[in-house]
Amino acid sequence: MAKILIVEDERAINDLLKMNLEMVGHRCVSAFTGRDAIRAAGEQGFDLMLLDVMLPDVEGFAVLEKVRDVPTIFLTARGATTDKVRGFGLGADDYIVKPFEVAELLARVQAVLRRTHRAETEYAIGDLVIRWDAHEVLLCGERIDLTPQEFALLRILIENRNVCLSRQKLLSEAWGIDFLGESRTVDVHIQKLRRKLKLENHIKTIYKNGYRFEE
Amino acid sequence: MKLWQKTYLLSTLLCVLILYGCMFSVTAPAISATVRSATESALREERALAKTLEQTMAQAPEGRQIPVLRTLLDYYAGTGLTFRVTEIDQQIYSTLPCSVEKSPGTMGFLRDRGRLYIFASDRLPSGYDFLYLKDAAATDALLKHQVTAAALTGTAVAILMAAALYVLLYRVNLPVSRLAHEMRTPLTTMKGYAETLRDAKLTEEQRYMAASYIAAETTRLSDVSARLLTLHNAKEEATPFGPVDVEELFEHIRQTYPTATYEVNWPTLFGDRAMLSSMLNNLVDNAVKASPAGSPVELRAAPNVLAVIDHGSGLSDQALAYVNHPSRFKKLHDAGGLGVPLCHQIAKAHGARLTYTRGADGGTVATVTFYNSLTS
Repeated sequence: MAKILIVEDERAINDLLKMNLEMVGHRCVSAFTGRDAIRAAGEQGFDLMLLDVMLPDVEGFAVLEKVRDVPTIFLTARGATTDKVRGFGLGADDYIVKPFEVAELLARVQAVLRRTHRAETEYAIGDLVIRWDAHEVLLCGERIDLTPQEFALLRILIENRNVCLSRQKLLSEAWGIDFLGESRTVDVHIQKLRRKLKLENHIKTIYKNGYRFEE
Repeated sequence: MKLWQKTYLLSTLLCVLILYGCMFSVTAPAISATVRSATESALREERALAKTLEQTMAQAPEGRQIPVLRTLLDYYAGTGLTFRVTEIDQQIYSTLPCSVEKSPGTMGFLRDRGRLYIFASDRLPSGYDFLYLKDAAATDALLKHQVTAAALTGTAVAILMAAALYVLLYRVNLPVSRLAHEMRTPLTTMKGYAETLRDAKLTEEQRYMAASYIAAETTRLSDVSARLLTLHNAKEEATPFGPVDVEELFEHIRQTYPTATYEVNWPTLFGDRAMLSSMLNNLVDNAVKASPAGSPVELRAAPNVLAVIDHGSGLSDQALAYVNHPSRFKKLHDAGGLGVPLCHQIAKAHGARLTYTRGADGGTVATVTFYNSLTS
């Protein structure tokens, strides 16, 4: 998975971002000041940077000007439209408004990684190998046919592994927000995935909440 | 643009309009009086001259009227008066400095080569037209002076008022925006960790960490709420002042911070106990955090002075500048969130001033000096 630089001076939020990103398989490096971030970006390469605008020493935008080749999502306060405009002007890829939802954060990170071609191209667990770009699923070396809907659902679950996704969230992510289906549709597709790919032990039902892909 | 800035612009615009309206209503009568007095005086002179002319013509022997008239006009011309006498478009006599085409029975102002004149024209009973022209340069200068003075005064008052209004609105709105920032971090943290606890598969250690962060942030949020209330009281001066027992106040703080020691040479001060306690708590809390574990924090009360002294590593110059003048800094500094501005606010509400200095051993000394306290 991706290597992500988290630049946020509040330890609690830095840890929160790190905990969730590592949960879905990314590797994270934390920086608490702008100077630390510039130094870290100079020493090692990153696939993505999460950047707080308000930092104690160097402003987030100044960091963005120095670290040009890393795709960046910046964290900003609600309603600070000028921040957003300035951030995009400096080449940021997306922004997240505080307070943010963890699921939204993960989705946006994934979207930027995919857009900048830094997302993983293959995922393997046990006898199962999934090639995302080729839309190919192999179980014990044998090709398994999945419908586009099943494939999308599998992708959302794996990209958010170890995090529980509600049926509503799965519907909106895998079927699109305009889909007027019932949450029962999700249950049916989950059963099919479990059966076809022998994922009974990995796709867990979370009581009253939804489903979680566990490794 | 922020809401308070919009409010500022609108109210300034309204105030400037009202101000200029007032200036106009004060200046307009003065200008009109100047104009009236100038025209009336010119008209009086014209009437007097015309009357003399008419009388002279009436008394002159038949056939000698024109030469007699010329003699009189020569005399007038010699005194520097400017006028013209015509008979049916034929000019008989003129000392006008410029050409003037005005019909009889009119009067008013005219400007020639930048100079202002008042003219008054009449048809005499004898049939001659008499036009009197009076130099009005002095009136012109006076009018210009009046208009310039009004405009300058208006502009100066408008600038002063706009500046005062800006400072007022800025000061009223600043603590609110600070508070919003202060609350955003705990809210983000609590929401994030609560969702993580609900949705993620966590290890026991991660679960403990998430719950601890939520607990800590709840404390921080309730602290913000308490500070907000105190800040409100300090700003509104909602609570009446009374005598406060300094020793009891210090003892109360010592119970919360066991490393604090105190020395009281000022038994009673006049103020609000809750606010003073909140201020000292903040000062001592910062001092304890800045000190090595177990190092004492001294509380001292001398007449008109309260001091909190620590023996920590001290503040950097930048941090010292911030804690002394937090309102000059746009962004919250590392050295404290709302606590330091709050302490300044409470000191101010007591007619006191809070200053931070570096102690002899490199630690920090926070001194609250009361300037106009009703102390005993």
